[in-house]
Amino acid sequence: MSNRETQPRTRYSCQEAREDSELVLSDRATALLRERYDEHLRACRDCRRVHRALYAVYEGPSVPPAASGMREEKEFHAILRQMKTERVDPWYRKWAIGATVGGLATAAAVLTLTLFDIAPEVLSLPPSEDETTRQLAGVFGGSGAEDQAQTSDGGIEHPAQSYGRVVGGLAIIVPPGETAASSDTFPVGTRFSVDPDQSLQLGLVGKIVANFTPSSEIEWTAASPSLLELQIERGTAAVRYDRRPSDPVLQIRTPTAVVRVIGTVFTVHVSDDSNTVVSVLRGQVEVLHPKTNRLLAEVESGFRYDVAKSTFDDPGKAEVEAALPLSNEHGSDDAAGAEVLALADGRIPSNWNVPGLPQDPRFRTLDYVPARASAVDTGNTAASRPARSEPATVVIGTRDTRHVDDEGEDLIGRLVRDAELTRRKELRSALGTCRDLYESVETRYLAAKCLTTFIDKYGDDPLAVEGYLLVGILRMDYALDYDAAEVAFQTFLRRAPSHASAEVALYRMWLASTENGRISEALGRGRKYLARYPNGKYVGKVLQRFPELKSAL
Amino acid sequence: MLEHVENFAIAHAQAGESAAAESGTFLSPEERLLVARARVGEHRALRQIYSTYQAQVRAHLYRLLGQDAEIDDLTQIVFARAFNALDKFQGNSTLGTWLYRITANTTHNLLRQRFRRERVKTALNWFHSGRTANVGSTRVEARDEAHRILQQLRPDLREVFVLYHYEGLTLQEVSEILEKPISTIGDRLTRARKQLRDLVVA
Repeated sequence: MSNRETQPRTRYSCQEAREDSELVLSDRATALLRERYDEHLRACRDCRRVHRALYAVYEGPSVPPAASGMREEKEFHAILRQMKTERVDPWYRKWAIGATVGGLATAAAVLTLTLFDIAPEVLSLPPSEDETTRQLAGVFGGSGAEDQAQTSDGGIEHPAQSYGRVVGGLAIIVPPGETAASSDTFPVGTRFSVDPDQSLQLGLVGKIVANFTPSSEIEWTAASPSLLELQIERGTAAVRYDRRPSDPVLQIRTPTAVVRVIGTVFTVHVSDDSNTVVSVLRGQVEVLHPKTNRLLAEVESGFRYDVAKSTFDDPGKAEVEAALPLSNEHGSDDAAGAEVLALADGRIPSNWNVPGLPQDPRFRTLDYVPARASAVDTGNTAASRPARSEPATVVIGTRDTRHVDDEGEDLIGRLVRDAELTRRKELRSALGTCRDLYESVETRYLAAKCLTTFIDKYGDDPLAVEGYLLVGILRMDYALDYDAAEVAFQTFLRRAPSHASAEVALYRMWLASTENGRISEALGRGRKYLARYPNGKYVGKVLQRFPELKSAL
Repeated sequence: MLEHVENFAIAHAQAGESAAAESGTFLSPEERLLVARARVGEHRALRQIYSTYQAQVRAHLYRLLGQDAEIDDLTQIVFARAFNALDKFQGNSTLGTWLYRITANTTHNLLRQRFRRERVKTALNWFHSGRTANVGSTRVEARDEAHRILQQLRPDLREVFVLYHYEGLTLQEVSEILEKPISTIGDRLTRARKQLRDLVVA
């Protein structure tokens, strides 16, 4: 440290100030030195300039933001391509290395054969990719597949995740090979013809929620760890995909375009003349030519792109309405720092970019979405909505007409009946509102908020315990919020362990861990369910995704 | 003046080195598994490594090279080289430190080339129009000026200064990245600081 700190007040010139500048800038100067330095700076203009410049040098240049979204995705793929070019060796090197390695290997093999007996594994085939992973994990001290299964950092890690579920609505469903059991769970290759009067809501691989407007024709064509693909022949699909880095890219194929999605909320409309219109409310999508994969447009949030005309426009009411059942906004943090559960309340989320719509939450409703002059008929207008008294979630197969169980529908019906028995007017009225919301697929996503209010008010009432289960189901199906759903299921099971609906809660807990990618936990829960309910309602669904659990029966 | 601090840092770094050598690894179990998955070419693991470290690599390149159209290309080259060299990664440093090393190797020649070119250009400018005017006083101008000053620092000194002061690495880590003894790094850091001060005062 500088001697000037301890010395009595001596002359402090520019030379001393400049020598001390680094100590001051790196906060290592004593109070006395700092005082003298500052005093000198106040008096010397030139030293002030030097101090400012040095301060800027030590602070460093401000760094531009890192790549994100589409740019990040493109860069990663460019890196994968670059890897191949970087790997190319000159031909002479390949030959030289090949000849040397070959010669040495032959010599070693001859020597080994001469001197020792060969262990059988020496002659076996090279290890597969999975085996190599396990071996390498072993080398590093990890526990291999089990650790991998426990992580849920995105991606499709297990075939059990490659399924979709009908969340609500009415459609003709044709599973591939028409061999699927009567179930709301369907595999890749399934075709959907949505009912002319009601929309269809699906959850895919536990990561995507999609809403298809009436009369839409869709096929789920691919589900691999890197790509999910839907084919739309007709109608409108609204999709919400909150993609994590290792999740697959979603592609929507139409007769005239391919829409590539990294993670966003958007709608794709295919008109009767096969034209495609893409509207993006959050994030960004790429529209590609279906045959050449040439980029036609990058559509950002707040834009609507017409493929036939190659024009950009604002998204209109029809698109926002189609996507609204998928609305989910992250809650704000409370005073304790925990994230507050945000439940959909029918308002357009603040992170959706709808031009002309005010940011004030009071005005973020469909009524305030500006109408577009040339609005596309997406087949999802208010007039086409079914009355709320119509039955919901009836899924019909082409060959065998079947009714799929809807746990939520049964639960809310039972809740209302129990409330009526108690003759408690206010309880009945609160539940009636929630039931009305639940009955229509278009408003079902709002029932979670209604039921949460109901639980807040009547949560201690033994009658209201099924409300927890319902909230969990809705949070899981519409918000893909598996953690919140599990808390709700656990609360239900803790409060009513031998309730008639305990089977539903156990099944839903298994489903939550499966769709969330926590495979070893899902296997444990699946075993637990099968042990407790060997002839249960959901045995088929558990075995459909985990055939290996047959032995647990 | 700073020598006490530097000596202490060097001694501390050497103590840290032996402790790390004893513990045998710098990676958490999750990172070890991630590297193992990436080695067999699993895209999701490679993607995770890229997502975690791309901001670090890009920022480091920017600090070394300044505003440059080639930063995106260099980021891609760094990751492509890293992914191809995963087999050689022994886990003797953190993934971040290892990527710094690859970045340093990738940019070393480029930095030297540019520095030489810049020096010739500056000399010619000086010959034609005399020394440049004093820097402006606003914060933005001062930071632009900082960038300009940094570019005048010799590449070997700039590398050490950027890694130590901007990336917040220890002398030991800088020494591992640049594969030079700690004493050399300490010496370069002192010279970098002195040269920067001279450049600012000039």
